[in-house]
Amino acid sequence: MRREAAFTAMIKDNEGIIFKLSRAYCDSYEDQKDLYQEIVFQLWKGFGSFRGDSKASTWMYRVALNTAFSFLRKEKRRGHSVALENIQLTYEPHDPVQEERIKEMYRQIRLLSDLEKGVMLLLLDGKKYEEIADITGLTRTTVGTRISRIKDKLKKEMHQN
Amino acid sequence: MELEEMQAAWTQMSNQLEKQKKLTDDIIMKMTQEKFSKQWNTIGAAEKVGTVISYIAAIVLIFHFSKLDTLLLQVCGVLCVLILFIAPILSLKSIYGLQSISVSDPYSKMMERYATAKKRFVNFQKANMILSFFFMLLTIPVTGKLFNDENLIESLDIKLLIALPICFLLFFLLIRYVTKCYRGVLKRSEDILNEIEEK
Repeated sequence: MRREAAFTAMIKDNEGIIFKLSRAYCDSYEDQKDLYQEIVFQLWKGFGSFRGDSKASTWMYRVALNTAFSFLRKEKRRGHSVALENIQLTYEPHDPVQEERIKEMYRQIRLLSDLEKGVMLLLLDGKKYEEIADITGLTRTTVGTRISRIKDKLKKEMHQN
Repeated sequence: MELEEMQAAWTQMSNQLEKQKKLTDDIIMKMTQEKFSKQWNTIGAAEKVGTVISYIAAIVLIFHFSKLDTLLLQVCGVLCVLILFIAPILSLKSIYGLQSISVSDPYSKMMERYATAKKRFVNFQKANMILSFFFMLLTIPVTGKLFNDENLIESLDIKLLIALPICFLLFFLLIRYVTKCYRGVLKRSEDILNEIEEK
């Protein structure tokens, strides 16, 4: 019971991470819900081995990104399954201009490769290069290279539009 | 959109998400449970459809029971009705036992419950297969009488001699297919449980 309470508290504290990541990796709402549920399940599976050596958010990002990668591989083979009805993945900005900016931001993120998406999300979340390297398993130098490539892609995309 | 603009939009969204927390303890634990339970949804749905069909068949049989005019046919009819009522309940009960295992229970308790439920499921399925085999044998003379007004037991003609091996073959193929499906779901469920790490 203690384990369950600790787990739900951690998920509630960091639910934004799962939401932002699901939205970045999946286009359709149903797929986003599916991925969201899969991430929560994978976190639950690994929760027993989380000893608190790293920050909860770092560990969650690591699990969530790995889940997203394997989810995308599986989805390509299998098509999506049905997620829980009562998961409501809603972001309510109450501001049409802001919502447009968010949509545009996600559109640009989705243009990146799967790994770049992960790096981009972490960068946007204010993670330092070391943390990004720790979460993604890349070296610090590779993270730097990836980020400059992402910036180039974004610039190119901006000039095209 | 430049990176700086994206960062600003992202921060704004993150702040807003912080304020509109949606998840409850219940939803979070349901999400962990759903992944395990949904392995059984397809089989559960097929079994429910099978139950409805069985009950309709049993009601039809009861409704036309008066057409069974010999003691032997009546005994066959009664046994058919009993099997049609009992077999689906056994099957649904054993599936529900596995589906309802809580993945949020302590690991040892969860595995213990799974082992018990699995044993019950396998035993029920074995019993169901034997019942189904007898049902198949019993249903031939009963349906022969009900729908063709022929007493196949007394006449024992060529039709029965042709029907029997065909029924055996179909029964064998069906059992093989069903067993394969059940084994697949059991394997997937076991994999999920085995992956859940103990604290």
